[in-house]
Amino acid sequence: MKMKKQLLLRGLILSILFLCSSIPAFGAKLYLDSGTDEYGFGATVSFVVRLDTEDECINAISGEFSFSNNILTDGKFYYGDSLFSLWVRPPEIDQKNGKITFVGGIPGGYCGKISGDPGTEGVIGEIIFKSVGMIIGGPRNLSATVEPVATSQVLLNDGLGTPAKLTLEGKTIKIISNGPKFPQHQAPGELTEKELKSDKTSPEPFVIELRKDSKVLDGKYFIIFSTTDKQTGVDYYEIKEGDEKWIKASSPYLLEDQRLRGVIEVRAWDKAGNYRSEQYVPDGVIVKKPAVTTGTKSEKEQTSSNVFQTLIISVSLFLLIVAVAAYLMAKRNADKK
Amino acid sequence: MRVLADDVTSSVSIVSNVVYTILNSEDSITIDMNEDVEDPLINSVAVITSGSGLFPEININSDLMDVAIPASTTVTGADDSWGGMMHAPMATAVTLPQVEGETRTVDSAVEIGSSSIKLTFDKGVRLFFPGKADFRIGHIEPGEDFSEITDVCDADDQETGNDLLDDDGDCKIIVGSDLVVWTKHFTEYVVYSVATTPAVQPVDNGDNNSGTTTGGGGGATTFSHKGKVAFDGIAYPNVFVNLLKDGRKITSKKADSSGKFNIKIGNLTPGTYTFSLWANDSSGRKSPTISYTFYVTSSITATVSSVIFPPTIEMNKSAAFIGEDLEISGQAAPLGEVSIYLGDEEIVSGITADASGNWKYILKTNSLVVGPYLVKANVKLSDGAFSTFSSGVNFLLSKKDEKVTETPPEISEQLTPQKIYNEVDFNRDGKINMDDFNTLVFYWGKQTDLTDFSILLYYWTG
Repeated sequence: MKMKKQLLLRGLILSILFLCSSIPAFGAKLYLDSGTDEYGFGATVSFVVRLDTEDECINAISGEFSFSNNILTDGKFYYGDSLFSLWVRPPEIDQKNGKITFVGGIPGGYCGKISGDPGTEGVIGEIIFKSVGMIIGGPRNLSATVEPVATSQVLLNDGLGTPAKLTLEGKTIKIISNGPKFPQHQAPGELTEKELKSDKTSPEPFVIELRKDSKVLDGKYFIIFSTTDKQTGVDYYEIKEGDEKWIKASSPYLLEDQRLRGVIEVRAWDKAGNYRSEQYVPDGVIVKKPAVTTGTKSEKEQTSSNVFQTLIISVSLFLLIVAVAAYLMAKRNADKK
Repeated sequence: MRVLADDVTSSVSIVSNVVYTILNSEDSITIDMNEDVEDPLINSVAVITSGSGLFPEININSDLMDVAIPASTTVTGADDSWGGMMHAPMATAVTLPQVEGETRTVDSAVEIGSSSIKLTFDKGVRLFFPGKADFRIGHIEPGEDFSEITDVCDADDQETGNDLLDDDGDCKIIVGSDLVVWTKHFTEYVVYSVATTPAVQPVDNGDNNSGTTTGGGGGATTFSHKGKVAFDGIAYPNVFVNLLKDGRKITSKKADSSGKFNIKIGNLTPGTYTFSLWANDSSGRKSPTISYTFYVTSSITATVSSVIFPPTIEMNKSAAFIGEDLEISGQAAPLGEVSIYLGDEEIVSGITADASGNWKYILKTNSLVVGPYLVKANVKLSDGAFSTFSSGVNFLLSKKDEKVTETPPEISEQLTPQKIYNEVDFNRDGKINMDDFNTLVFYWGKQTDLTDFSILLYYWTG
């Protein structure tokens, strides 16, 4: 592929074009909102990541944030209600280095909240941390910051990939001894603790597509898939080929079995532990299981637990029967004597 | 795997599966499906043009269900590539997603139409399921959740069927011991019964989005109220308007001769969605993709009204000498007034598109200076409403001198929209969709970057 070389050439000429055409570099603001400025120790702390397009149309973002990893822990990034629907790199939290990164996009672009939309404007996602517990002998008040770093980029929806002029704004909160233990949210589009716990909805239906392309993965068979979850966001995918085990994977996925001898299943998990499983059935393969199944992690664990309980009871019963039989045999032998 | 009827029009192996061939739009047809044919097909190629056509009165009698299509019904494929092959009623195997609190048992599943392209009708079509009065019924669209038909028809007559609101509209009615469905689309229908599971309590989601209903099979079940979205507006005359949901094409609908269109979809889990609309004009020029991102609320139809497609635009040259004329043309809403811009500066307005939507302007270059230019356009309707801007096209203006004689220097091959489009259409299939996105992801950080991603999203077709 010659993409890079072409891009450089194109970028150079487009720069000239834009200078000549007097087109300004439009602005956008990447910022965080916490709802409240103070939280208690050991509290659930929320930072909503937002984008204000300032009336311009954007379509892609590469976000990088730093956070106070000594005070904010157990971070989870929920992006089910994000304005971005395609993720080259879904949000990831690197606790060790105090970094959050993602690359997302929106087909056709986003030009700000439209009139009548009951949702909240410009939500990219919500990061939920736990603040540290009380530090004995330590300071009574702490402060923690989450802020976008200068490498973050937002591109305009102009067909040319022009970078928008980006303003960055972080958020600092205080951790105080009598601060609130939970964030307070009102508007739809933002997660509440209750919503997180009550998410019983599986990710959206999706289709597994089989592909073979001489330019990708050495011309071997691979599958592509993608879905969304409107509540807490997709957490990860698992793949199962035929009778093999489930493994974590992402799209595009190079198939192990290039002869396509078994059903290919992809299971999408959301952050609340709900899943949706879809199948691809190669020609000539007989389907043994339902094409689409949904469920939750707790059901799965419940099923495993039930199997274990059944096993214990069966073994106990067997041992009891053996013991009773042995006792009866011994008694009969004793009676004969 | 399902056979995709629209993909097999030229396949010799399928020809023997054709149970009937519709030759014209006038003669009434009765098809008796008394032979056991695998993947039975109806060939309507003769009456279908650009994905749409007029059906005569058609009555299909089969063991699975009877179908009655009234005379002079316009059938439209969700894609103008639909050639006219469709499945006659055929049994399929499905497993329904189970819901807590009930056990669903499939009685029969019937596919009619195409499993890959949605077929819609402008009149109500009657589906008759003999002896199924005590059962529930629902349908499955490709890539969509199973959806139960819960609306009850006011009457079992053609008028009721015709009054169905939209393409996703269905209603059912019990007639004696039989079940009748009136619909305006073909899909996969599932007849099933429901038994309650007493040990499992109904799910309490803790919000107002759940409810309880009782249906044909008896017993209580929980369900979520899904949201609906409707779009109406004006594109270009007689073109297919494509609708994408979160980047995936879900349907398309033909605009009328004045360019007006309306599309309705349902079965949406409450949440934030991005819906995108685009169309190719009658000359194959692609419109920009227009996107709307908003929160879909349960049990409510959100309507996006008065969508105005920007003009399509092209130039006869991408390079010229000062003094040469350049032709700028495209399509817009019929009788709309097109304005043309060089960069951000409006250079002309009031170019009226004709009844077919075509518009044209000859740009005199005498007063322009040497350099590259970006040309774009928008359209104003009679009510004063404006569209957003069209895609941009570029040209380079040079001064003719002794050194440069015959042809002016080209701006750059990479700068024409088609070249840029091709650059992100990695598999060269003419579409920018998940295939290209996955290729971009695969090469991310090595041969693709954020600029490629942005361009790919701009030209996205789904």
